[in-house]
Amino acid sequence: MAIKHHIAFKEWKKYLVTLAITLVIFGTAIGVSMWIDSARVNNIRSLQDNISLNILSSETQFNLLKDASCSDLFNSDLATQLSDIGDRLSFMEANGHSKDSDIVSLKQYYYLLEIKDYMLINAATKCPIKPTTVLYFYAPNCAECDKQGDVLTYLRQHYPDNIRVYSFDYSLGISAVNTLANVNKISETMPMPVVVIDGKTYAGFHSVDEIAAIEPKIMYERTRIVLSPHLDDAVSSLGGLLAKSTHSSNSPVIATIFTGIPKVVASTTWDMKSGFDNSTEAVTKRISENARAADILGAQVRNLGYLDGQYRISTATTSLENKITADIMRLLKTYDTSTSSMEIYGPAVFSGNVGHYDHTILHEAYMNVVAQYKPRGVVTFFIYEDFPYSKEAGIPKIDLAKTLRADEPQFSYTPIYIPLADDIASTKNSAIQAYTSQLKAMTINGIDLVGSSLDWTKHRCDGLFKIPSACEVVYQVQK
Amino acid sequence: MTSWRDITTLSILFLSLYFEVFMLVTYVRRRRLLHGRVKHEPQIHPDLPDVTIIVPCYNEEKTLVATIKSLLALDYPKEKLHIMAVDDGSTDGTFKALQEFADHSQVEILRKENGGKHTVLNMGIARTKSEFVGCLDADSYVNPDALLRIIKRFNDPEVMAVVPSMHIHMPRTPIQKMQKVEYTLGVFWRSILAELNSLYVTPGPFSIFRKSVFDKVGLYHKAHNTEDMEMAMRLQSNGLKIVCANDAVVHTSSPRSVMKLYKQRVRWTSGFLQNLRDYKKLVFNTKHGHLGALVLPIMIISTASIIFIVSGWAYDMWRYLHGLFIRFEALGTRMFEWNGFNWHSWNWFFLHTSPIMFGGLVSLVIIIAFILVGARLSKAKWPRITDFLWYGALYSIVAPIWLLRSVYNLITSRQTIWR
Repeated sequence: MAIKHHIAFKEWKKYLVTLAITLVIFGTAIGVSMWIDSARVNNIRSLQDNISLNILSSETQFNLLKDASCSDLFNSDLATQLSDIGDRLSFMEANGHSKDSDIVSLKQYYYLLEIKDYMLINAATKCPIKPTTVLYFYAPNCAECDKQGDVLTYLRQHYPDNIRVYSFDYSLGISAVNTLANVNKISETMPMPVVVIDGKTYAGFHSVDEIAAIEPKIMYERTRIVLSPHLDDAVSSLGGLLAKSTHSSNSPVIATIFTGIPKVVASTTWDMKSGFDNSTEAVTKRISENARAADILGAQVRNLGYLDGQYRISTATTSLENKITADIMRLLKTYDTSTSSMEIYGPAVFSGNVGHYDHTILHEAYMNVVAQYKPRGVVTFFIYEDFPYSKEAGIPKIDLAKTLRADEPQFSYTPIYIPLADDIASTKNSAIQAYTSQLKAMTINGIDLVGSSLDWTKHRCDGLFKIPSACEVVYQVQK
Repeated sequence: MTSWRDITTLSILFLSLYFEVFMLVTYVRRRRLLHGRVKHEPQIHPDLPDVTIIVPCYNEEKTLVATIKSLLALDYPKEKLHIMAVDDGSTDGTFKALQEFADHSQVEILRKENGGKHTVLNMGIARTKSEFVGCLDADSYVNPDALLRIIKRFNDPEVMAVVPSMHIHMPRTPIQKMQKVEYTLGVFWRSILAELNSLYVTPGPFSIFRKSVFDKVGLYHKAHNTEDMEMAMRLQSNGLKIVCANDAVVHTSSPRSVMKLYKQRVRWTSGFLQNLRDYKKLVFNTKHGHLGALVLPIMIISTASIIFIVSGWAYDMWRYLHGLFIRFEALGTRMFEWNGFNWHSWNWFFLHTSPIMFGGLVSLVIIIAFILVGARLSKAKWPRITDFLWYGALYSIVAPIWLLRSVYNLITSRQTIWR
């Protein structure tokens, strides 16, 4: 009783229906995937356009201000953005898009941006804190190149402020890349990988230690030390720079000079306005407010314990100045090693009657340090615009560099504009709000410190950047 | 997207999606019939035919008593249900254990020299005078209503064999939980394959045959130690109908450890492939309906596909390890330095997306739906999420290994060992 198993017409139709449904599912899968890929390409393109604008703006500033501007070189945001685009392009290539025309043209664009950024950094010869630039030429299917890539990625991730890596696939034959290679005396016959460190060419694989031997600065731990007269000056003047520093290898240091608790308890007008009955209560509370602000910024605190001007009886400033000079020297020695780089920031002085005598004492002591200090590692000195006196003095209409030169003519002062991203500016703002007692006293005196500092930071560099940005300004001091 | 590997993977995905959709369409058309069987309660009536159940026992002293008791507990007239327990030359206390049923009117106890399961079945088929004959392995247990539900399907005079739904008996270990999900999916596959007239196995636990069919096609063969697959293929090649009583449930003991499972599956898969080689005239033969046109070709392609995909994974793994090795060569112990959590790698941009991934996701969802329907078709509860996780984790690792071994066996024509 064998039955016929032949497939009826109705059943054949099922094969076609199934085919149609499967094609729809498959088509949707391919469609969604293509849509996401095109979103990726657009994402890279818009990032690149953004960077291109940034670079153009740096270039314009550079031309306008001649070699006086180091502002954009001061931060590694651009480098981070560039390497982020690099990562995205490699991801696309690793996922089978290496031959897509979109990706190929984006890659050429990316290489041009890299070269441009490289040229810009190297053109700014007078910039004090210049990262080491590394050009990295590689070829596909080259095991030594993979190793070299791992080494450079390691350095880039661990020392983002010290090194900039620009990588190029030499096998693509992009003309700008070839020219860059020729300029650096790289021939077609040279075995890959090739690295160019600060303009010198090295063929073959180089380990972390070998690269560190070529340029030790790459692996220096960088420490920023901001000298603050009172317990809020560093944060209200350089809170942005301090917040930014948390990304670098060591957390920055706020060293405050006048933090002593008077042995003879006093009651001053200012402390009363701040809501305190006596000096002991006032200083104790202000120290803890400062610690909170430092916490917000990710900074460490050092308090030198000198008596605040309002509690001092003696008016002998010269001996005080000398003591402070010696103490600062001692402090710096604890951070200064042969494998570190330090940046030290001290307060400014202003012309006319603007300022505070404690600030002036610290400024003079700091200038003594600049003149006398013999560093073991790499040390750079800066003067910062202390707020709110900077505003009172009429900056930016008044040229602070000129004032400083008139005061101490043996040094040169180069302004450096530090752009602050929105999140950094708002971190600074919340750190300032930690000084509740001081804000109270200021309000009684008719000053809105939070608001005016925010406003000052936001507009200090108006007209200086192509893309408006909040900023802080420091002056590099050179002998 | 243009590498040969991607194109092959996409083609495999297309075919497996096609097959899944085909099963889905069949299910949607027959869903009322399939679920209706479960709802309908079978009744004992005077016209029920005589049935003989052969219980082959080889060193199964521990489980056979429960197996026979579950048969005696079947809702079926006592005078019409005969149990033939055959000790196939056991070396343990099997025969002694069987003596518990020595005086039972329904149970006949036999003892023979060891000859393999097919010799036991053939002896039983030769001795019985019942209209229907089936077998229950001595490590399996039947639901009381299973036989009534199966016999009901023989109302169709064209039906020559009926297979039940199988579940794992008390799953405890992860390996058993994995099989629990696998068997639930199996319920769905068999129910639908039966609707397509494409069953290629009549499993040892409680497949029931019209006895006359053995006169027509002959007795069991050794058949690469998978006589139940060979018999199904023989019926199919003769154009004889096998159906599935998805509502009749049998519980079977399953291997507890990976090694035992591996041995069982190498035997099954090798047997399937070697029997298929013997019956290759079925493949790509539309005279044998969906079985020849779709099911068997897909089985062959999927065997090759799984080997291809798993080789791809192995290659990826090797590449990854090689990359780690390169990093170690470049950085030494520095590679273990923690550099904070890299949030940017969690950007949407770096999520892996491809047609293969989206298609695979659809395929996965359909398979999960099949498993859930499989549970409903056999009156079982839905598997737990953890069961699914065991299934996904273990099956993707263990299954390719037994598959590879079976293909090796096929190529070298190596015979597996029963136990």
